[in-house]
Amino acid sequence: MDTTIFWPSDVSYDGFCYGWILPAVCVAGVLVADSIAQANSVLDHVYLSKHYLSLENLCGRPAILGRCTFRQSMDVRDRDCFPPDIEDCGGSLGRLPNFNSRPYHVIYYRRHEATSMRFYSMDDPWLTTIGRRTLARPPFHESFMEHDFTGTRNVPLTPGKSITLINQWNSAKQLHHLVETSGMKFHLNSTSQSSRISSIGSLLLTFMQSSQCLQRISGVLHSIAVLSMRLGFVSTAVQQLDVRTRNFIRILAASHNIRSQRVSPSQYIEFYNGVWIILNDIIIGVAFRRFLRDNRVLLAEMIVRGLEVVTVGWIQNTLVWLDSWPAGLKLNTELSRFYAYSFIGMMGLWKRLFGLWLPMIPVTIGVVEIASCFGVTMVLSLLSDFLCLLTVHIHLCYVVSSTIYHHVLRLVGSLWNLFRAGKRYNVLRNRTDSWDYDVDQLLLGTILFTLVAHLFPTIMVYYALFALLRLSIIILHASLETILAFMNHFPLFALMLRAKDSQRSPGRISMLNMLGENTDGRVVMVESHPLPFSVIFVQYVELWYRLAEHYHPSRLARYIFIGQLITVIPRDSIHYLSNKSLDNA
Amino acid sequence: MRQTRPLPDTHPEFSFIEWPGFCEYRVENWRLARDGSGRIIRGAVTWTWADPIVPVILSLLWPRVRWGLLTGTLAVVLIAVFVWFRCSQVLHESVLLFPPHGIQFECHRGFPLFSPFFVSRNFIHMSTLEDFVIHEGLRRWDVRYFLAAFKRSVTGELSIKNLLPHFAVLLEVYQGAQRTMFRRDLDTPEG
Repeated sequence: MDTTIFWPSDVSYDGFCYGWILPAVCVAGVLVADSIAQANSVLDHVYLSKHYLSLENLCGRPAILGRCTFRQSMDVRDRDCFPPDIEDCGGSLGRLPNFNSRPYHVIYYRRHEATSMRFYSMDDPWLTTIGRRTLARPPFHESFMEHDFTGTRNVPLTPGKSITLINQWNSAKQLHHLVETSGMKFHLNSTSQSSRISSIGSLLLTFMQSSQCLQRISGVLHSIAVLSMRLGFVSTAVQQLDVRTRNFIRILAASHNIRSQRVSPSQYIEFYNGVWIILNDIIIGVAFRRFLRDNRVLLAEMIVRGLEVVTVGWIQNTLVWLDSWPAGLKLNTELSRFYAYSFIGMMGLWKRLFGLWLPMIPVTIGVVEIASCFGVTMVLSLLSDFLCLLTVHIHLCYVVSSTIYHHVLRLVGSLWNLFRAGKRYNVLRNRTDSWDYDVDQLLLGTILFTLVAHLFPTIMVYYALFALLRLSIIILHASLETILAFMNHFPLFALMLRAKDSQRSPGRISMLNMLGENTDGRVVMVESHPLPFSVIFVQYVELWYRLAEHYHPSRLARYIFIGQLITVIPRDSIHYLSNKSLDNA
Repeated sequence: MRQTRPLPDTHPEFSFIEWPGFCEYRVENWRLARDGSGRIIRGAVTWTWADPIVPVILSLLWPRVRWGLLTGTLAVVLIAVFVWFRCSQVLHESVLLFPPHGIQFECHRGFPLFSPFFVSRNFIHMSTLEDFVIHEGLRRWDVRYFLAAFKRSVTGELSIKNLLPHFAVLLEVYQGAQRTMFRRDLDTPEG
């Protein structure tokens, strides 16, 4: 089999090529030297460099691979299109491929500067935990492959070998710098270059890495996280505080590795994505705070007028309307009056409580203004909590009416079985069985059925009112929760990076087979593809599935029909979506 | 570069191209008629009878329709969709073998008279490639064979999934991949 040599596309001069031979021959650069001994001595000097050890851990030990020459008659511009002539010159490792006797072909790759943040990557390391779980092979596939005796049983290369090759491509430029500058000068260059990465980010990281400051902040954040996790079931705002605290803790924990640039691509992007999300959240929150301050009086008036009318007045009017034979529908007068007066009484009680809160509206708006300094997500979570508090009376009425409706519906069903054909529901066998009723049982059941059947429309009408109100509130809650989840986990940095420089967010590689400009042959180049949107938004797909599953119209319709309580989606299932992947990273 | 057609009589659209260091199994988007007449049936066409109808319809509608923002936008969108469909026809699909590194699936789309406008490439490294098989599945009312590459930890990737050539073509590709990538000679009894 021909030997494949991965050659850097920006190298087209003669000299001694150096690089790695495992898992594949990968040339990192070309060293201009008079003899093989001189070239080896340069590499020996590199081995002693301070930055070499981490490179060897990632890529393996480099060595002199051979002498390369480009055709003398060739124009410099054409050298990139023609592979070099490599001759074996007896390397020190004794395991070098013999280029003299075995044919070889060249695949080109681009060497990226370490400071450019561009690199190659295969697809597997990029998938988050949720992405892996979503795309994982179903269990029956695993058993199928295991029992398929016709399978090839490809002896797998250890996954590390493919990663090693990728690391070699990504580190080739760094090794080249080490060789060129022979250690000391490169160290100065690297520190000066790393400080140019992000001035704001460096200041932030430097501040965070002040050890005492870091420990105190981490301690405080941990305490807040523990407390808010325990109280998360009480309030959306508390849970949002927990989410933000965890974000901060992760950012602080990752800051050290980010500073030393010893991070995986996913950690790098998740770190900066977290920083961007928090900063954008705070910026939008501050802008919203300004809006609140400028319109405080108007908002207070709108709240006073609007809330009282919508949450109390309108419902009371509707109850009165239902009690007055609505649209000619003759409901049971006594039962309807009982329902209407009971619920109107509850509304009146709530109205009195609401009146006690009215003078505190400016204080409430002030609290929201303060909360907006922590981000617009905090405002949204507070709005969600306020929505819960301001609709407590509707929720209570809904619980009462749905409980009555549910029990009456079951009673109607049970009596219908008796009335229809003398059947009854067998709880032990979970089915409807025939049963011999006594005459008095049949008579009583028939009377009860008639009674319930005539009262059922009245019960259903009042239940329908509060079910619709509850559904409207659920939709509002769902909208707020969805917006909150999107703002907490939006991959803003990943998208911006993909738009600005797609090579900095690689998803996979491919072999680009293109025609050389001045050659009849083909030039094969390793090409990096950016992360597909399906991977960037994989968490949103998961989030969408969970929201759609919980708020599916057919599910909601079924719950309304059978009188089962409709609840909002558990906050744990959407708030901690991406945090699990970061915790596992 | 050396190009051969392993099945010249039945499937001349299928070619095997040997490049230095890798090889390509290419299936072009045309075929011979099944009736044995030798007539070529092209999947990717330059002009059809429907193409002149679009400007005719446009010229008939032009004086009759009150062009506003909505109608203009709708017309532009429809024309853009039509152009898109014509310029994204599958020209050919390929399976490239890069021993011992991996295999790559390519799909070249465009207009037949020009170079491909869109090329999708999917490279599967050998460390993630578990097996390369011929599978069968339902497509509309038919049972069709197709090539599939099983990847470790994820479900898999389909090869030549747009053209879906017949079994004879798939068998050639399958045997070539097994020989080249997995070092498995299927012609011998042990294979």
